[in-house]
Amino acid sequence: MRTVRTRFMPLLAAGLLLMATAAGCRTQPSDEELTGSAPDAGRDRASSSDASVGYQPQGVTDPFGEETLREETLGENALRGAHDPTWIDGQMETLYFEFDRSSLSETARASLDHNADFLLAHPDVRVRVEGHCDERGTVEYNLALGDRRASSAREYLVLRGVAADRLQVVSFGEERPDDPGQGEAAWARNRRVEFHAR
Amino acid sequence: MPRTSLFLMAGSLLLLLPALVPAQQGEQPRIELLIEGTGFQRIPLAVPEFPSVSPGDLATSMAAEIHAVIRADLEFSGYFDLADPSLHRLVGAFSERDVRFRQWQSIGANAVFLGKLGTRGSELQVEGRLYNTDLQPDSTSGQLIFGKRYSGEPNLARRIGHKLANDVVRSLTGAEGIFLSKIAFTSSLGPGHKEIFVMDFDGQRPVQITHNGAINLSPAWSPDGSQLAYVSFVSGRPEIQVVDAEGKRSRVFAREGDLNSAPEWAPDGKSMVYSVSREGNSELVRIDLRSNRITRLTNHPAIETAPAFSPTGRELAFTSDRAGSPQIYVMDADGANVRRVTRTGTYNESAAWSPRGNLLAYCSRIAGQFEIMLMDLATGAAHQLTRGAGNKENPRFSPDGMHLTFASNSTGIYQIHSMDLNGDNIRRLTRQGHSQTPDWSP
Repeated sequence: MRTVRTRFMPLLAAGLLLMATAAGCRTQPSDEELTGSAPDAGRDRASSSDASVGYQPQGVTDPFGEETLREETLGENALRGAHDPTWIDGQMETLYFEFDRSSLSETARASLDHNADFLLAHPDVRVRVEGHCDERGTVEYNLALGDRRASSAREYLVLRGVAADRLQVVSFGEERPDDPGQGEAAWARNRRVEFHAR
Repeated sequence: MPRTSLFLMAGSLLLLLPALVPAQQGEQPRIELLIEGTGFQRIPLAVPEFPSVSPGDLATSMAAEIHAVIRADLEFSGYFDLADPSLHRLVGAFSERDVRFRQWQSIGANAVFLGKLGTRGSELQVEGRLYNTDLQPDSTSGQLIFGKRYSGEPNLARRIGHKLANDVVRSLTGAEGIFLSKIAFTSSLGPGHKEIFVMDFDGQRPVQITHNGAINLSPAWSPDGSQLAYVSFVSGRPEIQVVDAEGKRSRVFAREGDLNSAPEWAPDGKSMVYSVSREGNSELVRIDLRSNRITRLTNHPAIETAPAFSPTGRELAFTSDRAGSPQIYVMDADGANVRRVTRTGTYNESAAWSPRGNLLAYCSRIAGQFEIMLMDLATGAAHQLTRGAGNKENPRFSPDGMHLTFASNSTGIYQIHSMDLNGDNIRRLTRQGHSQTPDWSP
């Protein structure tokens, strides 16, 4: 039979944590401090299927259903919103290309190094590597060229140690320009590879 | 010899001549000669307005519309010199009982098409008679080449006009008319939203075929005109889908690797070739539509895309940048014997093979923009068909090989156009915004 303490504390802790998260300030110690162990990014993700919680069917021994209360460990990443796709997208740099080329410039490689560092630091992040072209050239050719651009970016990241199955290549050809305008400046902005969380 | 047979003989010559390349002494054949051959002459034809039998506003306006459809179709075909309508009154009052052949001849018409519209109940009844205006030696009457009556509900008015125009073309030239053909294309309905549409060859009655809310591109007609293959992003990544021509049911057809694009049906309808990309390398593959067995056709780290079958199905033209920039290549249908065919221009793409077999249309980057080119496969000579501002892309032949459709942004945004094979008579077909990748039905 459970004591008042064991019933109450999870509720209180959960409530305080929720308040802290909602207020956006860290009035509660992080998971790290609570449990006294180093955060493991692979386990930090908030899980709703924690097998250690027992689910008791309702019966005479639990008239208020309090034993159906579930307890979840909230990790550091959940507190910081590291799995917010917008945040991830913002951490990744876009690459740019010369006309009709899929080769990586020095600037592109530098951006890829930055992206690789981020991806290696957050091993559970998976991204879509999107290839794009400017509007010159046919729809079909630009689909293939966008695919080549995205694939050469992916290849580089794999060489840097990022697992290939975290990187999904998609070509949009000329279909999703960043800048719908005409002329060299707009076209240069459209010849790109973008990285988006998925 | 009966005069009708003379007509038909002349007509059959018209059919044959475009397939021949005339031998000129040390000179490139002019493009008109290449397409039409020596001795080509347009047939002088008169198509006067219809009288309507049952008076009433609806009947009169239907008669005018059907007449306008027939005139526009025959004008479009390129086979005829239509008599100026202002000359019709010189003939005076005519009817099928008193055609006034001598007067039609005097204004220069070798043939005259007389049409008549009546109503029966809710139906239209349209009669059309084509006469040879050459007088029989022993009478004052000409010769009826054909007479037909079409009946149907008023919504079929344009279709009736197209059918009659096809009848005129067939009887005077021996060639099948194309006035019931369609053009499929993609059109933008908003940012990130493009759907496949089908319209009449003259730009009328566009109908939306796909409705999946995604980006859909590159429609390709099956050889029997019953289905369209196209590229769709509905699953998030480019895959090939197939839909029936009315847009009732679609299914996923190819979803391999990272990218599936540029579908092209074999002329016998038994297989399809398309471009698949894996690990950044695109190749052309062929899938047998019955066994679903896939054969890889190309084997090169370069981009391979935009396949186009020859009308016999024995060869494929395609785009490859294996030489450093996109060029047109031709290979056997099993992938053997790859050879480059474009020798001029640094950037050539989007080949289409004429149904008559001897010509390739493609687009070439000239002075920073794309122009439509026509190449004689026998000699390798390439002719520039388009000029002026804008990019003209994705040329596709009409089923009789006499016209091309293409997308051009010369008006500011991409629209679908058609033109004659020598570059004349460019017509804008689409009114709605941003339309591309046309394909002309069989």
